[in-house]
Amino acid sequence: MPKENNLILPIQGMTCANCVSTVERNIRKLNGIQNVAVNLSSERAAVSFDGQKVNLDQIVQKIQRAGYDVALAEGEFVLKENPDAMDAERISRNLMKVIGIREVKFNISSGKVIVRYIPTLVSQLEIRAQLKKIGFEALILGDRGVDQEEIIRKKEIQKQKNLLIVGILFTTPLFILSMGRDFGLVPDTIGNRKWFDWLLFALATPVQFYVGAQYYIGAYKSLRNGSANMDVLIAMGSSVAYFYSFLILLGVFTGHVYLETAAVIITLIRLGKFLEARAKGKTGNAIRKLLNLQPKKARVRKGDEIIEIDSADVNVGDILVVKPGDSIPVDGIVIKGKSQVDESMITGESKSVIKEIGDRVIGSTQNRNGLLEIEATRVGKDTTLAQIIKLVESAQGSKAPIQGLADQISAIFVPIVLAIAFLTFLFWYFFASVPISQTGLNTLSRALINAVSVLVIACPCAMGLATPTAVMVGTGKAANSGILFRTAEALEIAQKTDTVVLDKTGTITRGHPEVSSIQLIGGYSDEEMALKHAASLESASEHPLGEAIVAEAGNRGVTLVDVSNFNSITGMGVAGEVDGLEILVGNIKLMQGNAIEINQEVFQAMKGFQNNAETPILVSMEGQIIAVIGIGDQVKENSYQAIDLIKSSGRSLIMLTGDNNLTAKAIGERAGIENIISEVLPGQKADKIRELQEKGSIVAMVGDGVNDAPALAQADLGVALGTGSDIAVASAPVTLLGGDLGSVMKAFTISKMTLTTIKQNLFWAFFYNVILIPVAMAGLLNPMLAAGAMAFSSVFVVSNSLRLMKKKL
Amino acid sequence: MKNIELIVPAIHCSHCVHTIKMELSDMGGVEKVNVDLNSKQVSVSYKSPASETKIRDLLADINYPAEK
Repeated sequence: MPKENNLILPIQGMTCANCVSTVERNIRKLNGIQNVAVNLSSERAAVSFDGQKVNLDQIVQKIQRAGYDVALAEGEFVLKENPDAMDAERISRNLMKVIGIREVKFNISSGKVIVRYIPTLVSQLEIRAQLKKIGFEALILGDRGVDQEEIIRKKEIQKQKNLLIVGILFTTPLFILSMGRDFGLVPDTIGNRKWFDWLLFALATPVQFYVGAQYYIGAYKSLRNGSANMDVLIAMGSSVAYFYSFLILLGVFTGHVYLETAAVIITLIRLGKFLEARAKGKTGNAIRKLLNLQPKKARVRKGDEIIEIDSADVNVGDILVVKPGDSIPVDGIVIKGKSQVDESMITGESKSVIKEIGDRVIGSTQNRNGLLEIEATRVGKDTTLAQIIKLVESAQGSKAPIQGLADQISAIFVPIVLAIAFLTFLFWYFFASVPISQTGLNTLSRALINAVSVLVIACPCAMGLATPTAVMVGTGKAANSGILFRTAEALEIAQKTDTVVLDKTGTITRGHPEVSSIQLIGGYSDEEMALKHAASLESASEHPLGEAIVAEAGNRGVTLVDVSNFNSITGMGVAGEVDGLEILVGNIKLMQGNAIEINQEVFQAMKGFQNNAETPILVSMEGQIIAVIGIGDQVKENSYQAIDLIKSSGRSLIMLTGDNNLTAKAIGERAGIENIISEVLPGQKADKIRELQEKGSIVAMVGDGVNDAPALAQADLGVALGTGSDIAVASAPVTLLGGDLGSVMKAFTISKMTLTTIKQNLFWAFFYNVILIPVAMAGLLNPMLAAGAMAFSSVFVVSNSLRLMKKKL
Repeated sequence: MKNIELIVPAIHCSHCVHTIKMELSDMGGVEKVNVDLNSKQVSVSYKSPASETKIRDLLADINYPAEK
């Protein structure tokens, strides 16, 4: 009985009907194929075949030979438990048995399994299930990063801790016995016996090769690559002391053994590494804080029912119910309800924002007081929060230019130190006076021990930590205040800028027309009534100035009424009957056209608004002007303070705008900016920035990320004002999520603080070596003290970076 | 050993070239196949059991008939 199989395969590369017949014909050539149908438009081949005569591999090969391919999907699965090589082999063997899985790859260090599979035959869900069946749970994408990193970090710390404990267990008795003998606390009758030395040797050996194994491996790898790193120095330093002692034990030399020196070097540096690993974990706290914001559960409305599901399982289009006090699970649009939402965790803006139907909400922000129903618009890795995290992570991983210096020095540092150590040995062996024999110190041991001190003190690991730890903490701290640095370079350059160019519209000002004030005319005294008439009439028009009037009525809680005989006169305004009264709203031409008198008072009012770069709108009732409404793009409240702060930081401030000179000057005057570049076409903004740069300025340009993109790219530092949901669009090196100009100065401050920290770190790391290498060369530094000092320097650098987190902005 | 050169008007892309090469090479007796995309020319070196008729038949079979 032939076993029949039916498969659908996605085919890649077909362009025409000939391709279809080629694929079909070639598959048919195989023995055991019963039927083949290839569809060009869906790019699918339906194949039925006898599973005993032919298998999927042969079919795929045949398709490939015909010049086409089977389309493969790639899925990444992050395992909760890190697989070792054995596990990987088992996972691979098991997954490859699943029909449709073509390739299984591993990234052991991050616990990632990458599976390439035929999507028509097997789904990610099934692969996940298969993994679970053999005992490996894969994390749901979206919450990976964190947990995984956390697990790896914890494992690393645990490993360091275990090694440290072993090191301490053996080193402590070794140290006590050895020092006890040197200081005469152990009677000579025991201390001078050969077995006592062998006992010390027995204690030192596990430390040397078990606790210190990592240094030997690291040194070997580094030397094989033709470079030399700190592992080489530690391995060499401790090995010299250890093997020299061993040769003495064997009777090759006579002299004092330095077994405790070898063991103490390794154990102390272990201690430093352990403290460093623990502190380094903390540098990622900012990201962890962001990740923890996302609520684990979401309430989804399914018909009349509300069910609770994992936030990771929410789909686009799901209707989510968010209770007061709960966090919003994903990005979405409000479809029911009204509430205050705290967005401070994303935007850094502490004031709550009112959200009503049609408003966008950001996932992980907190609903304060009302019940909201939202429709999910972005889920999983597309949410604002996920994008912020991705961005911050990539910035933290990027290299600041200042690190180049440290890298260059580190690269030549180790060979130089090796040379210095060798010279130290030569000097003390051949040229120094014969030592006063005390505790068996002869010329050879003295020369060796001084060389060991040089090797150990010169380890450049603090130098390697100086920049990246500060960058991690700095970008993380910035992200927690709603300031996203895209690269470490941006973080470094921000503090160097001496000129800040602000785009006017949308940056200094709100970016849309608003009513500034209403001036009543001819003794008319009811401001609300005038607004009500004008707004009721304008609510039927779609003019932006009209919308501003309607919005003002909404803000003041004025109720609008119905309009009859509505008439819109393009370029002039609107007319109609409100509450039985004839109302006109528009410009001076509209009034003149209707023979309405424009007296001196009206002219005065109009001129007042015009001087302020605002547009005056006239309102008439029954043939009499009753009010003039001023409408203009208003300066944001927080712009004033932000501008003051930037000015007082000593930077020159320039406003860039497409407006005419008069308007620009009026706005500049109000905002407190003297330097104005006006009448700039959108395409010329980048040129203006270049002109400033040619004069030697280091320019930060602040604008909206979409329209000002070329200017932002031209500037030394592009700063985009975001509104929280458009990070993906804004491509500037710095994005201010709150859309708040005040954050510009904060960004400069964080940059400055981070750079100061980096410089301090580098100073201490170098200073250390520069001061202590000569001390070690002079034979004044015990190798054990050198190891302690060296461990301390790394811990100091990491702690100094962590201090950034606590600083106030 | 014989050589023939045929013009196949239906050749229009590199897939076509590949298909013709592959199919002709599969035929017993065919030693060498060259297909030029621009000139739409197919040159075949063959010996028995392959023949011009068989080659023409195969080309017709796979939707790439040669000109007479």
